[in-house]
Amino acid sequence: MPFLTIFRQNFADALKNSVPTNLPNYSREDRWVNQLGTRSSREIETRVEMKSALNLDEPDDDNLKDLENAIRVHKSLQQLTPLQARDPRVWTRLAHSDCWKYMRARWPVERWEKDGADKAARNVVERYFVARSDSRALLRNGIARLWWTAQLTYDSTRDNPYELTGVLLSTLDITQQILERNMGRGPEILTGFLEFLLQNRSELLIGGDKNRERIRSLAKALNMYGGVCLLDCLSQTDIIRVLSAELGRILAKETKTPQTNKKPSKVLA
Amino acid sequence: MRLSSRSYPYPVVGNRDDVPGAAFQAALEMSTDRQAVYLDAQIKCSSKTINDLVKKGDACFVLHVECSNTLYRRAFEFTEEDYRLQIPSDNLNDAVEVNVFTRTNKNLSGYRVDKAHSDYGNVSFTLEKGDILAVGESHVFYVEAPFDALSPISSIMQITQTHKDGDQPMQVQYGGQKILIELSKKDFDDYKRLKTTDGVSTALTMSIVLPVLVDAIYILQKAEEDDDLRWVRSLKRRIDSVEMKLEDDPLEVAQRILELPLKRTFASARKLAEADS
Repeated sequence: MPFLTIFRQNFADALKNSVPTNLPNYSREDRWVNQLGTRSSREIETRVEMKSALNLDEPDDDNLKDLENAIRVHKSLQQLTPLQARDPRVWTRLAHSDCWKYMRARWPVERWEKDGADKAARNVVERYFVARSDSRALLRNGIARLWWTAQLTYDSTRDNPYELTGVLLSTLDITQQILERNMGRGPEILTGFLEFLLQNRSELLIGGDKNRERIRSLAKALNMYGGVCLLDCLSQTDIIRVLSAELGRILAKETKTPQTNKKPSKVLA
Repeated sequence: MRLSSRSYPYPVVGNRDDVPGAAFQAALEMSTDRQAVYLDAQIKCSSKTINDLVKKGDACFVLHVECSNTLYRRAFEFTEEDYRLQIPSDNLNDAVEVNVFTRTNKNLSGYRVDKAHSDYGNVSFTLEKGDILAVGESHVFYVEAPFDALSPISSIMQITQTHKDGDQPMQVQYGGQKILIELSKKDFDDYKRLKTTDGVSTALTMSIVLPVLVDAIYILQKAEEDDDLRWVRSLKRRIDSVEMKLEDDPLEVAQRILELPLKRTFASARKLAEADS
């Protein structure tokens, strides 16, 4: 199997700074970045072995294929250490080269261009590069987010070690609610939260806006609970117990104030 | 976890003036070596209530470590006043935020803190497992990755030009944080021009980096440089990472670190030859 190749720092920096002028290139189907400079001025080969080629599935109308692709990226790059996996040079090159076809299908620039070139450029930087040194930027890059979500939720004790990865990636909103809050980096907190969603699939995972609101309320409540309690010291069972109590409160509140889609009838004075 | 000063529903030692008659402090020191980052904590708590709870096993001290850069967040529990924590060095990078707490190990009823603010009067509280009892001051440490975790060995070497005129042999200085390789002016110009040329960079590695690396390993074997120098620390780590020992044959160690440069040079040369034909 090949070794992982990364961009040189100078090249990655120059590419990022050139996004506004390069914007039309992000609509191209070919891997145009490979035509910039010589190969050795552009990239270097690391000693990290890739276990398999990164042939990612392209999303279709019904399935974004995030889970399948997260597993594929994680299995291929299972040797990466956290220190290596936070390196923007890795993900910037994969997004522009090995995984270009996938990136074009999953994060097409055309989606943002209708809101103007500035916004399109900002989104390209966010999805094709690692814009800043914090964790949120890492979770926005189109390829890094796949590896990291799998890494943070991988559980070798389960029959399907990627079961919780599937929960986390079932909607973008769950990722934002839990992973983009600091508490989501605590392993027991994250797995406890996802296990709770799995155990309450019908109330939380299947359905539309109502369940999304419930998940938001649960994440917010857990975060507030962490204001007085050290969540990191709780077991997965403790986290599930806290969330169960909160879900009970949410459901009871909904019963008391039933929501209706009907418009209120006019009251005549 | 950024700890802002906050109002807890019960008195917390170290938080604002909740317990003016007691203090909770943690002296923290960070150090690193080839394998790990070490955090040494020395706890000083003058609250009798807290100390008694810890002695009884109803509470414990917690070292909370968070690194946004590597998405690392863990809590480590202990009861000793002096505690050393060891974290593998490839888990941390750049800013690492460390907080020290005392927390309950179980639900507590009738909780009252000795020397709490008079506003609390005789009120007692019911606490749940995990609730914070004392907070220390936040600390931020900066962990510098000892070498570029993905780049080849070049990150510990710097190639420059000598101030001497004319043809000069390559010279090397090992006394700085990086190994300094000096080339004659003409060689340096050629190096700058050729290092980004496809198929040539590996050959340059063979002719410049390999002999210097072998020499550097000899120097480490003779213990002529100490760990204060960054290249020394980095090189020792690299030797570990290829599962070899410092006392092994320097030529073999160097070739392992550089991932068999001769093989890669032949591969590049083959490509060049095929492109020409």
